[in-house]
Amino acid sequence: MTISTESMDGGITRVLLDGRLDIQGAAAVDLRMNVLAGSSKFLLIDLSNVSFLGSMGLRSIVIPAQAVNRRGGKVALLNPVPMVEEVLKASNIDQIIPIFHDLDSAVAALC
Amino acid sequence: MPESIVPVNAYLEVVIPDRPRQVVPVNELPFFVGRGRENGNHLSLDDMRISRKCVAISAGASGLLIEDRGQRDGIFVNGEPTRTRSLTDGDRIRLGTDDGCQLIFRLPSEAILQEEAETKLRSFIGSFGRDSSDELNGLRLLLEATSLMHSQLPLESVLASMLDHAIVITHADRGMLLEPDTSGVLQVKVARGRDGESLAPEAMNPSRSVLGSAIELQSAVVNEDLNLADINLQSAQSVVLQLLRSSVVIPLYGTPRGQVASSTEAARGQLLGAVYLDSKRTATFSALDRKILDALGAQAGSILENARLIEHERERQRLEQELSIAREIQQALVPQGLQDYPHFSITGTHRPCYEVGGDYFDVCPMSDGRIALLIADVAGKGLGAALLTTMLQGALSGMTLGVDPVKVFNHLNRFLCDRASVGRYATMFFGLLDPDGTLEFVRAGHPSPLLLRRGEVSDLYSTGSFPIGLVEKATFTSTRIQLEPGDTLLLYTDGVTEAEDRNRQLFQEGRLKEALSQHQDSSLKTLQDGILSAVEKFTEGASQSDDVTLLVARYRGPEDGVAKTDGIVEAGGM
Repeated sequence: MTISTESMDGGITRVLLDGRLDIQGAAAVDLRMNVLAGSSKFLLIDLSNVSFLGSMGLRSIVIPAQAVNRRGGKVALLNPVPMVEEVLKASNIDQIIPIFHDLDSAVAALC
Repeated sequence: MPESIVPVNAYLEVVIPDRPRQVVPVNELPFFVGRGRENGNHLSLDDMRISRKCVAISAGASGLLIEDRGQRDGIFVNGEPTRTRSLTDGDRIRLGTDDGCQLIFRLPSEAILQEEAETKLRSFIGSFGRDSSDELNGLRLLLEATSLMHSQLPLESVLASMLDHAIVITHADRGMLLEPDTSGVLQVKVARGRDGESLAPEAMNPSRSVLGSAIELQSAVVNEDLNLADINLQSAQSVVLQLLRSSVVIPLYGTPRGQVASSTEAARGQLLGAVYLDSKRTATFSALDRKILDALGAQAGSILENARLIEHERERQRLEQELSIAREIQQALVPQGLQDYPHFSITGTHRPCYEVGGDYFDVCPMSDGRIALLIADVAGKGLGAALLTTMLQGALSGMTLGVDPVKVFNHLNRFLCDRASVGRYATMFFGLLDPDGTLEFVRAGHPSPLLLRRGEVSDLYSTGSFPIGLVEKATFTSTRIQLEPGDTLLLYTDGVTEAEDRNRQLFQEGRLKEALSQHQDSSLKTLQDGILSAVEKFTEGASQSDDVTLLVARYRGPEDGVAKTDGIVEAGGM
């Protein structure tokens, strides 16, 4: 599991996750995600390269996203593969963090 | 060597009239007793009345078993003729009919063992002479003792004895064993004086520079009185000599792992610590043979290494014991041998992937005649998840007292969100089955139970819901559906649908539906086994990566015993 970030126009931080967000994957990104949540106003979490989302991995996304939302920021999820999207929807997470399948709409929703 | 040791604390007292009592540890299983070592006996009794194959002691389900291997006239435990039975502390085993040889089985408590081991160790060390080669021999025996009696010896006394030996061999005044602390700095762990007395480790002040050079050279360093030749002897004797000590430092190394032993320094193992010996007398160590120091270092190193291994082994055993207690508690909390109800047959199974798991299910009758079904899956695995599972079970048991399940779900969600540092959340499905076929349920992010009706499988719901303890603003609602007689509900956790084969392909809901659809007319036990074997067949022996839990309920119909005509009485369990 790897995590990298890039800054986009409009003060958006794009977080690229790559690998399996299982228990080990979650442990690998948790700290970094929490730091990002504390320092970003608009967070775009790019899930294109996340092949598996487990329950601890879901937590690694939801806890930081709620922290950003609480501070008045916004979070969006980009391009989950079907398995990942299913997990997000089964947990109603799409109700609190919108899911997008193209970059432009995601950026538009954040700004 | 530690791996050949069976961690058994038991021993046998051998009582033969007119001979001193002998104590023999049961240090291997099975442990054979008979006449002659050449017959494979661990304890050989040199007595013609004892058969060559007399008895065996082996591991049974709950302790040690004794078995007659063909002793002439049989064996008697506490006077009872015995073929095989389990042994308890103090059992007297008579071999043959006459009053010749008797064995007393002992399984003492840890405290007594330690005391005995220390006494044994002292008598054993006391039996050696005072010259260096004898003492080296003594060290070799001590090394054997740490291997053989490791389950009994207190670590401190082994290390103290080792230092006592080293002091005698080198004629030092004091000896210290140093071990690296967490930051790698050598600290005095045990210190002994020349009369075998313990000294306070913190009062020792070993020369750091001598320690440093021994470690740098990876070899024993003898440091005689500092530049004595340059000091005016008259003044030195009055002032300086009180402070000067001659010393010898022997660094201790473990056995290198996975390497062929060689004499080159590169082949040395990890630095375990050092033995530091010093003396107020000048030139104490100058006559010491290099070979003696090397042998001392090698043997002290092995003793320390063994002692460490023993400590790790003890710690591992302790943790394992704690985990097995946790497992027993968890197993005792899940329903055992699910019973049938007039309108419903029910079965379930739970397979944690570790010792303890984060899945949980329960079935209980409510005071209003309904049956409550619950399945929950705590995020994560192992002990952390299991702790939360147990807490959920306590909270949910309140629902059987008639508390509104929606309220309980909302409360649990707030409770866990307020304690976010717990770092766990759960998905749950809670259902109430009414004898009239109404199913009322509350769900929290849990995969939809599957409904098998007339050979067709469908989901109870296709939309999502929040799990418990992840989203602060989550609220929960209840839903009702109507079951028809013969309907089967399958509740499961994602360990089933996310079971992986060797190529990390998931089992998925499609395969689960397919497997379930085969079982319209099967008994619930057959249905459950069929699903488990479909999962097993799919994973092809790939190791189970998550807890697997199934709970199956079939509605018989509104009138008692409607479905009982086929004679199938469902009863499931673990």
